[in-house]
Amino acid sequence: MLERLVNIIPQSLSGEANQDSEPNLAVNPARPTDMVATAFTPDPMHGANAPIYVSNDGGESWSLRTVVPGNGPSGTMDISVGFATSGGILYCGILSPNAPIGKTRLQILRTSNFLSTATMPVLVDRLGVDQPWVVAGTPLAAPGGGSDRVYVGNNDLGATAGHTATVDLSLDAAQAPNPAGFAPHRLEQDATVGQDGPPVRLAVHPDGTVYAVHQRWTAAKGTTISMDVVVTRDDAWGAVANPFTALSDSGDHSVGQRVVAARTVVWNAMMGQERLGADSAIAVDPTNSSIVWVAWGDRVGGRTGKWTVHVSRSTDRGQSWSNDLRTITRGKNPCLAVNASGHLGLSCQQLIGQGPSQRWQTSFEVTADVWATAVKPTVLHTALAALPVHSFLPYLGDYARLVAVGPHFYGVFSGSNHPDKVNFPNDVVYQRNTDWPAHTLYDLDGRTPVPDSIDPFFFHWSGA
Amino acid sequence: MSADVSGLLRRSQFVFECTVEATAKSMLPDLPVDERTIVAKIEKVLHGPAALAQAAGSEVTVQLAEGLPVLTVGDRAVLFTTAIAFGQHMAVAEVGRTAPDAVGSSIMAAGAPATLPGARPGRSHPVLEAAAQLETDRLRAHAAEAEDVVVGRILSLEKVGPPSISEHDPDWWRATINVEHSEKGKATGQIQVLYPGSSDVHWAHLPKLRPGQEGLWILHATGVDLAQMAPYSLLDADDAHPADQLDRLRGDGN
Repeated sequence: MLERLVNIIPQSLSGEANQDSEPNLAVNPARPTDMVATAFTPDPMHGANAPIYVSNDGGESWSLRTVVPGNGPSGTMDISVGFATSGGILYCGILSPNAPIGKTRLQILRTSNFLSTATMPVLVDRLGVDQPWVVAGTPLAAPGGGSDRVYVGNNDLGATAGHTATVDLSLDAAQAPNPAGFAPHRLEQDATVGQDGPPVRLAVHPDGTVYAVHQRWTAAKGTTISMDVVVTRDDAWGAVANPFTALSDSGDHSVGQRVVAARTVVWNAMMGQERLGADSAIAVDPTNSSIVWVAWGDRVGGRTGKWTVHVSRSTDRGQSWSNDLRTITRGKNPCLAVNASGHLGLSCQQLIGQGPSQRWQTSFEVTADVWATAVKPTVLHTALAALPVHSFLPYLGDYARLVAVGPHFYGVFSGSNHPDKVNFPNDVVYQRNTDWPAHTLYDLDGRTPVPDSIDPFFFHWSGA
Repeated sequence: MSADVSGLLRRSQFVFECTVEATAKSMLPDLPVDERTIVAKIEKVLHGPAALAQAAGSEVTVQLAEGLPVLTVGDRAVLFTTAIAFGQHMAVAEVGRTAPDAVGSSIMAAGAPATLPGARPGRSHPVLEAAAQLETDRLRAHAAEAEDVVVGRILSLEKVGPPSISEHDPDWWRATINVEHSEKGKATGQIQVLYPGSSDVHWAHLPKLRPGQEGLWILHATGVDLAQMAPYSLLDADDAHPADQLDRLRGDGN
């Protein structure tokens, strides 16, 4: 059941009207009341550091810490966070706004105290990298017991031969000397059109199985791309000579198993005010590392088809994959997580309706039996798609995030903050000053109206 | 204008007049507290970002600067601060302070013209005056680093550069500008200027041009790897201004 849905903009920033899109979330597995969220949020005072959102009460209340080095008009560019399984160290992957013109700049950061107000130190600093995605795990037993294994999926456009799908991994990110044990490893081993798609997502199981999913771009004509969805796997935390090579394609025997092949993407096509191109998610069942789920987006029927989110599952460690188990037409930002009962959580944003009444709707659903029993998604948020007008892209984000800890699911998404309870069928808590009957946001003085904008929202779903 | 006020402004982000309400206390429960941590009520916002312009009446936690006297309950001060945290309340770190009387009595909204009830005509608030001067100094420093500074009208725009399939593709465009006045440098006649047309988060804040647009253009020499597309580029949010800002750049206006 839905425990809470919270607009995480703090009360003291009631005057802000930023486009706080593309959220991310980390929940400390060792103490799930500790959380960090991120978004395209600039330092409210235009200082040198970008902020993170922190909560130490399970997401009931959130505050900001300006601790991420580099602050542009939207804070950082891409930003992703993850806690180690034990020890409470937070890892962060960003695209720094302090990059040379025309370049992206990956930085990997770390802090042992997520509530600290000190600037996070930089562990890795490399140009030409896109969309970092952080996951972390900690083996509880030898070998490697207690050491933080951290995986930062990314699209390294500096890679040779178009093998851009990459994971920067460290087997001891908490203790190893700089760059904290991190080194890039190419997930892609096959031919591409010159690069892979931006998203590289990973899922870590406590037994040391680590899955990654990337999108292999195999052909391009203008902005129309043909892609394969490819899963790779490592069975020992990546602590082998050639990480992520444990899975070979059952067809061509190359590294990685294709989940689907020759799917169509129209790059930077628009859906509502949002751009399209790359949706991707992966989750492993904590009760059985052989069970792994993926989600992706493509155009069903080719270039003129509708953008559709698909969910598929493997029960044999990624070697074979089901047909679509769930599809969401005009879906965006699918997020997957599996809780301690083996139940799959799926959150997704969907453009529904037509014309001026079109709405972005964000829903969450849980299935315990691979949708053998029908599931009615819980609508978390719905709002007119045309408002507020975007100030940049992505409008809602190129991604959102869902995390499972024990029986619980925790998620973040971004959406219109227009204060109308109709937009929140299962209620919501705003920290910022809000007059619900008047559908108006107010500044710190409680009198001056503040325009609607895109805000990040957190939700907690307690599972069985 | 006081040099002290200007110096403090350069190092601070949020300036307000306040009254101390409590000492050795924080309104944000997860922040450390010592004898230099106070809670104050903001009486007036004197300088700061738009999001905090209406903060008068709010309580703020302040970590007082080392080396300055610890304020006590009932003390009034103008505090120059930087951010620490934003929660139900905000917390800031003091950079420096002045006595309220030292900067005059006024009401001022950040990001808006000052109103000075009861003030003598023509006398502006020292903090506002310093802030405006800093903005002008910053614009001049930016122009001093430029290759050319011109006033001109955009004649045409064209897409240039190789297509790139990246979320962060700059989407390069080339503008032809008819130079009507050269303030700095040697640009005359028609010049070509490179700018990113992309609305991606990486590029959206940079100048976007339209045919017929007149402006004050602060032009930079295009880097070697892009120079074949145009000799000049607009790659800073401060590179494009309305033409009437030329007076401010020259120091003829405010």
